[in-house]
Amino acid sequence: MNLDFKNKVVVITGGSKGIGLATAKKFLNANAKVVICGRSANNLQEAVQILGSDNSNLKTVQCDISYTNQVDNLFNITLNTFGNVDVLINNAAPTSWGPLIDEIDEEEWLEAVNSKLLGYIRCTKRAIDYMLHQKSGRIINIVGMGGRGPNKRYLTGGPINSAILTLTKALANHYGSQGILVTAISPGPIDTGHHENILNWMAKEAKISYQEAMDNFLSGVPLKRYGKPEEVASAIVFLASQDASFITGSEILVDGGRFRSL
Amino acid sequence: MTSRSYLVVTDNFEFVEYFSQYFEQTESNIIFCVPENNKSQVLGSHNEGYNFYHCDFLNSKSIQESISAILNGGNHIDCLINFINNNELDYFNVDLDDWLQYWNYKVLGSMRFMREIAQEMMKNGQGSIINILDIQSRFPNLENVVNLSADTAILNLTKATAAEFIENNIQCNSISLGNFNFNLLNENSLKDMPINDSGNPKELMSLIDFLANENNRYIIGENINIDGGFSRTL
Repeated sequence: MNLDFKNKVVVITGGSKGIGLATAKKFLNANAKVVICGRSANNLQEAVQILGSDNSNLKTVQCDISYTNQVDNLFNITLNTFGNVDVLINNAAPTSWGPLIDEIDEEEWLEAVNSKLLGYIRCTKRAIDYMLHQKSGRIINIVGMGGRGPNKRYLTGGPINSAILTLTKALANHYGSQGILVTAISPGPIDTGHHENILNWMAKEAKISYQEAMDNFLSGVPLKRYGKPEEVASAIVFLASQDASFITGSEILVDGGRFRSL
Repeated sequence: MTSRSYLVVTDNFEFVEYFSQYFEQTESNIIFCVPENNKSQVLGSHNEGYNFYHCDFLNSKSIQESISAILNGGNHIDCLINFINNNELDYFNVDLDDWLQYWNYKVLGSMRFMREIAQEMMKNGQGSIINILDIQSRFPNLENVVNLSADTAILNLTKATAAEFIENNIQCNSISLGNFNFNLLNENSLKDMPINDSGNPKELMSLIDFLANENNRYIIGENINIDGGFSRTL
């Protein structure tokens, strides 16, 4: 595979932890210039320690994509530092699990829409501004399994993630002729810590232990284990590479076979 | 055709007319709930004589008050139809605050009605909820993605809540519309239609009648396309 990203600039939102951090590491190893952003300065500092504090190909920006001015700042710093945007990885704002339909907090629900769906759109609109000039670019939306597998306890993240799949298709249809390819990755259960909350709910609802909830859940995953962030990162890097030059509007499930429907 | 009591939540005036024309033949009780600011448009048509209630789809309390007024008026609800699709927001020009407000109006609005009416249906021991969507949400164009992505979200919501609702004998399904004269597809979509005609609204109403029928309780969380063959993918 041709996974050399020399002189390519990659922006990763939610890049300080989990899948975002693993993705940053892979792109840096492939010679890319990488900008990671996140809401927490501490998490970004920890990420720098992991990725290499003396790495001139790495830039961190504290940014909450819920705010347009902060997204503008992210892209201004990216351009001032590296001069371009070739790849955008929209990977931010995991949404909470738990409330049933009559337990939804409407303000929190709308804040999640603003943070994730509209956050992705804020970043996408800014990235596309630059990508259109160079007539090339890749945008990869990290979606989350609730978009494909609706669940009564995922009434915030599920609908938002489904909407991002629709957005991915629409962007791909529109910008394909201008060299901008837009795809989605739907990670299944990944060992990032985020899944603990889901298992706690499952254990509580079924009145079983956390371990039993985990065993039950994994019995529905053909590979019988959680995925690693690096395994999702590998799919992301592939979609951003020249080897994926005829893939747009598509969604890749990295889920150990969890979703078995057509 | 079976007589039952429908609550139709919509901002689509033509749909109001077609729904009325079809279901009045069944001697069904039809109640429309429309946004406050659309009152004059709805009542300006030939729909005078039907039960219209007005509320703010953005406001749970307003919806609760309207539903209380409906129930206090001696009505009960067998079937909730959600068809909120009045949207002129264009992706290229939309202000993101307006986009968020549209989700509040359409997606959260649909959820508010589902939540409130489901509680009443539980008391009655049965019911049916049908969310009506646009088939283009699965074949989206960017211009209309504000509306179409909201439809996909409601599709997710339909499937997510279906398993919970059916525990109380409430069916929740959706219908995805192709080209009807109250739900026009864009020109590019029309090029890919196997048939040139737009759909006959009576066919849609017949499908609603079928899904609302309490004898069809094994159809749960399903989305049925009525689109003239537009969607031909697996």
